Amino acid sequence: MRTLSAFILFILILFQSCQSQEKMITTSIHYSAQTRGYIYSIQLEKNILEINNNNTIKKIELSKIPLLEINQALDEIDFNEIKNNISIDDLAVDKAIKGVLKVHFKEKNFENEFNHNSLPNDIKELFKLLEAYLN
Amino acid sequence: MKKLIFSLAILALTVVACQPNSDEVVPNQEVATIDMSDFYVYTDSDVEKPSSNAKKDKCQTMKVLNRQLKENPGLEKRMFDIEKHTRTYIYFKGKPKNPGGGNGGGNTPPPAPDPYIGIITIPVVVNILEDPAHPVTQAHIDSQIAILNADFNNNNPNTAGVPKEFADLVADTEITFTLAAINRKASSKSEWGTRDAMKLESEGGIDATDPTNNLNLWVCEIGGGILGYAQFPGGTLATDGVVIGSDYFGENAAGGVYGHGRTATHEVGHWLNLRHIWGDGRCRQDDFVADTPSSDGANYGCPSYPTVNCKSNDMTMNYMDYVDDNCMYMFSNGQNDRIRAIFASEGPRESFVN
Repeated sequence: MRTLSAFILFILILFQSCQSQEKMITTSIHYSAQTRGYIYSIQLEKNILEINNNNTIKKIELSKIPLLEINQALDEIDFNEIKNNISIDDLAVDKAIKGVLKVHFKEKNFENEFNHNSLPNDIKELFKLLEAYLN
Repeated sequence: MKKLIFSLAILALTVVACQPNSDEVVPNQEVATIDMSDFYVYTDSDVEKPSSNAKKDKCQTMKVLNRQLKENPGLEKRMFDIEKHTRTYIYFKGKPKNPGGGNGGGNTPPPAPDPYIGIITIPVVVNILEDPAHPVTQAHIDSQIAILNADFNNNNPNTAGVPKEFADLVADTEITFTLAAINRKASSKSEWGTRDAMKLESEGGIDATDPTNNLNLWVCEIGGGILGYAQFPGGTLATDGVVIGSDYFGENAAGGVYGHGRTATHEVGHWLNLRHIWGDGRCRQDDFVADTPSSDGANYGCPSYPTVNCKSNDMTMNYMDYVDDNCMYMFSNGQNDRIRAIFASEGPRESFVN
């Protein structure tokens, strides 16, 4: 009986672990900001993180811990409160660079457009975290 | 019977009275043809609401707070008036000024602006905030003036490669730039940003020199990945002009593929009231120029021809696209019309020709 209970517990833990791993894998982050003479992009798909900083491209395969950290960071961001802050009038005279952020997290899609040089603090912190894995 | 005849007479009189006066028909039609329905300036009420709904966000995306409009509430009306003046100028181009021949009655259309014919000379004041790591030499300055003159007078040698489709659209704007003055000030600032600090003595920059009669160019380290930026006609006079990053001013090896002076050509295009060729939006958002194809975004690098977007070939070689310096080499005739409009009577840069 004890063996059976331990076996069931093991199966349950395994199932939970697989589920959370599945959730982590389905998290994706895509950000791209471009203007004449400048490009910056972040791509996190499954466990591959790639950052293009003005054509200096760095790529890494992330282990479980960084993926958990990224998910935790995303969890702390209230995407419903994040405001788009790009002005078409600034874009029209090249005063600003438009950055488009697309996040898939906890089975929800979020999309925002920012002034790349004036990112909301939460997003700036998220990018710092991602950049740190490549330094 | 008398009552019936009287009623019919009243009815007939009413119908006749309601008929438009034939003398007024033409001018009223002229007014109606200046369509401003697609003109946009974003105001505070357009500030978008945050949302996790990506589709909804997409529609709201471009409607955002405009700092300049907030600080300068008259700007919206001025920009509308300039656009209406430009469209009136273009509408009347090559047409008789009073096609109806009448006096216009009480509801006269806006007067057709008098065009300025011939060469327009624009004195240029170069304001340099000197960073020793990014020197701006006399050779850079001279080459920049020469490049502006080549580009605005259809003398860019690369124009020889224009695709046949666009060959008849290449414009000679007949604008000559002359070097009026050079102001230099030492600066160790590595990022001046895009909030116009370099244009104000009070913020460490250099004040504009008589902007109603000079094109002011500021050369400094802008930072943040910005090569240069401009201000449309109608904005604050004290900040009127164009800003160029030090490495991208004139023929400058430090600028790489952007080191051939075309950042200034592009930004001066904005200063002359030209928009980006893709209209800063999707296919339906226009640059207000009839002979440039619609597009849904900027082109980069050196695109091959044809580059198809929005079911037509992009005019990637236009100075108002985002391609490399050596791959942009034309303004279109429609863009030239917009440029000439601002120098016409009542135009926002009329002072340069009077």
